Amino acid sequence: MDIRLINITKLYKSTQENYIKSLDGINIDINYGSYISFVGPSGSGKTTLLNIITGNLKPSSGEVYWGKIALTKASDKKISQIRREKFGIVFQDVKFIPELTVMDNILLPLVINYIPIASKKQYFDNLIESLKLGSIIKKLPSGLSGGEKKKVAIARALITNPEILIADEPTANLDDNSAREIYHIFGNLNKLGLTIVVATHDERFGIYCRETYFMKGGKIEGFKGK
Amino acid sequence: MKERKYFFENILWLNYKRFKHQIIWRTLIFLINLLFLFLWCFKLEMLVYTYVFFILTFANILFLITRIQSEKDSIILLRSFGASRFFIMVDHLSQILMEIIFAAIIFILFFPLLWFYFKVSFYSFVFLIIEIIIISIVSLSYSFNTIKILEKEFNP
Repeated sequence: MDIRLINITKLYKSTQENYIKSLDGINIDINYGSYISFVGPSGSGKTTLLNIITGNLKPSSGEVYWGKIALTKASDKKISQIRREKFGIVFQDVKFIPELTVMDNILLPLVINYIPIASKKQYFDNLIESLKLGSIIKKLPSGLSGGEKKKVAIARALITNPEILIADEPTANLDDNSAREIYHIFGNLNKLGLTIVVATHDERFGIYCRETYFMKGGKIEGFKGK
Repeated sequence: MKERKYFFENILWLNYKRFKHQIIWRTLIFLINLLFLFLWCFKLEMLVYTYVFFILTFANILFLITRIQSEKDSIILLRSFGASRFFIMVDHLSQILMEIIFAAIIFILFFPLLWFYFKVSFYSFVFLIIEIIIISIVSLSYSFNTIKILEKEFNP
């Protein structure tokens, strides 16, 4: 699925009459198989942009096309269905259900997708093996390190076999080794054909991505492609 | 049809996993409730007993509201993964239903004990049932309201 963002603007209400412009006139094409990063400081609109790409937020003006579907005209049911089936999301603060083990948290998107859990057993085992999570799957999320949490969040995002992986600050608060491991995982996934979109303040990500957009104040201020 | 089958099967799976983790403190809370109501019923006048009953119900509701608030993150997580409003509603409803079923099971298990106390104080028996009903209704309406508020936060 290709994604097109046309003249996207997002306003947030700050006081009764004032608005803050979080995104201002964003135009981007995300083609199947691309590896894109949005790099910029905090408050540059990266997370808002990712939320609009995934349909978690609707733009104040402009249009998002998921293939031929216009997001602002699609029903809540349709948006939810596409988000479930096409996207794998890694959140900035990872977000787990604290009562569930690592294994159950990874399986969570299947529950939402109405996929029988037993049918994904083989895929789950392969995923755990390739991400080297075997030793922690029975732990609770509270007992994991920062790097382990990010890897679990990546496994959870991949369990439904999505077309597009969206990651918000995947290397934030990680040491160099863990960050390098994340770059490596993302690079391999992209080679397998997965579209990857990353929002990060970590400029090193640019080395690994094929397209890097530099953001500031809700605008795209620069672009670097390979 | 097949999708609907897995919908309920998966919701049950999710609730069972959560419930397993919470069973100890849930049992404890229920037993503390029972203990309080029955201990007080030996010693107090009807008026004071009613007062204790309302305090206890209030404390339970407060506890449940705190619990539902801590569920906010889970709701946002599920919604971000593409869970529909219907899924969130059914998931939440099934959690509350599980609480009620759980309370009912313990109630049945403790029935011989209740029967014994029933002979001592009819009020303790009635109050316990009223307490379960009030807590269920309040937590149900509060959780639906929470979902409504979250929906607005989710799509401002």
